[in-house]
Amino acid sequence: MNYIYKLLPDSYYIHPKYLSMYRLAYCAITLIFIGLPAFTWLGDNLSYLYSPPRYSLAYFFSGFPGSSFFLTITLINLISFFGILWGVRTRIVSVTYTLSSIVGYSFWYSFGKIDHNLLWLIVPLFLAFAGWGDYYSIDARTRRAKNTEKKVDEDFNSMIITLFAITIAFSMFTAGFQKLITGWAIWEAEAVKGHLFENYYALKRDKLLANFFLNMDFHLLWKSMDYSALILEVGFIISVIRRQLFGYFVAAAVIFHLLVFLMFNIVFISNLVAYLVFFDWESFSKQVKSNQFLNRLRGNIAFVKSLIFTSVALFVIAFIYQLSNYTAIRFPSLIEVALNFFNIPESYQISLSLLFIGSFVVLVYSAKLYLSKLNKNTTTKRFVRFNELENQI
Amino acid sequence: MKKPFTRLMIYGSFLTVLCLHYLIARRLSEPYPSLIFPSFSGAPKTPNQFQVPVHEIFAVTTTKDTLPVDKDFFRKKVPYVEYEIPVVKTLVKKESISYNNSAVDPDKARFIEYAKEQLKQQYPDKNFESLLIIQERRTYNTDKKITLASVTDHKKTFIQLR
Repeated sequence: MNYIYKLLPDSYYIHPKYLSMYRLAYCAITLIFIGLPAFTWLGDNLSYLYSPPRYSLAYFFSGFPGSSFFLTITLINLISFFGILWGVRTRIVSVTYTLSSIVGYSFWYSFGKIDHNLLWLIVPLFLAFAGWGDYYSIDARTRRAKNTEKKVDEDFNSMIITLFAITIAFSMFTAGFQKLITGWAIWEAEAVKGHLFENYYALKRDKLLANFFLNMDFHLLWKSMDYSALILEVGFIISVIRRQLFGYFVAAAVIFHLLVFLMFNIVFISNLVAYLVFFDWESFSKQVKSNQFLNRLRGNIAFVKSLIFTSVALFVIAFIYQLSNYTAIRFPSLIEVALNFFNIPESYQISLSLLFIGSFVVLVYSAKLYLSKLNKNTTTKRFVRFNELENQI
Repeated sequence: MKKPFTRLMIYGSFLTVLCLHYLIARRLSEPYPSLIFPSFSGAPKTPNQFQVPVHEIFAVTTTKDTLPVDKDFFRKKVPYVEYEIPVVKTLVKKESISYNNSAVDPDKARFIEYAKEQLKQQYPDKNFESLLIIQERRTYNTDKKITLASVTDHKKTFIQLR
């Protein structure tokens, strides 16, 4: 039995303060890069194209429900999202946000295709119970005022985040396992190349580096890509046992998604947002505190407040303008709004591409934090040893 | 820390639920919500030869001419290019069910109205009697960068517009 206990995952505890930072980052990424979904476009759709997944809520319906249904879902979703952002009844609104999104997307995916953005949607469902609303929120302020602060149990927090890590790892594993049993490991087969061809010709995904890779005829390279994908996806589930190892897999996954984006032009943003939970928020927070520029800004509260107020006001104006456009499939991201203002085409693609670039920057920054931490530990160890030697002498 | 046994039970049960979810998706049909990621499963059996699924939509005029339908045919209702192939598959599936006659099926009648409207915009001077959907798998040779003559799973579906 002891041997089995050794396989239990490490502690995945993240202080609620850092989870709350992540909550703000989650909302900011959604608003700045991705945009919130609007389910209203489904209301007037053709029921002849209706083909919902057999095991879904939408299967209980014979066609798309009316416009008022989707308007209600969209409004609940929007209100919940802003509830999360400001931290008002965070736990309840987080659950409502996930549920309303799932209901909306059940119909969205009733054209015969399911997109895999679930991780992005279920983040609030998990983290609501790990304390992501305990700081930087109206809830926290209210509790402080009433002197009724309550802390999430450390053990419970760790358990929730571990379950979330297992969910990510399992999702990756399902993809890897399928590859494994359908011939990806066979030396002669060039699976990545095959799928690149299919995407290039059948789906016209021919942008970025697709053409460059298509012209590459180097078996060893293609095979190394096949095997790397297999190791990453299948190995993810094992990596959960050790938190540090899981961190390495998450870092590798960011590079993996970036490559998929460059080669296949597939924007798999959902995972990138979910991975950010495992960013080293503690070190980041310390760096922010010691940053001279930010400290100077902090000294000038009035300026910061006016900046925030102006941004919020601009955002609300842009948002109200978008709300009037009910036929849109989603409320555009802020980057999209800015690009549209200057009539720049393919604004959504650019916005998502910037998210990918951003995630790569975060990855490099994380590596820098990790290395400086490693250096610091080595120096401290040397210093302790030096002191010990000195005492011995 | 919670007792190891309790943790084992919690994580074990959670993994079991996820595995059941995966089994349902594999054996029956993918549910929603689904944690199953796109697998890109399958690897080509012959090196340098890949099969690509192709679908094309044509409109057949009353004078039996066949004209290509604009790529944006469904875009007004389904604004995703990635959804085109699934939508075509859904249409073919629905057409194969005999009771979907426009005379008795209001959903089909609405679709036909939509199709006529779209075709009118693309070809204002033509009259159409049906839509023709062609589905097939074409083989590509990656060395020569050409489509080989072999075409498999060729299927034609007509949707009457009258």
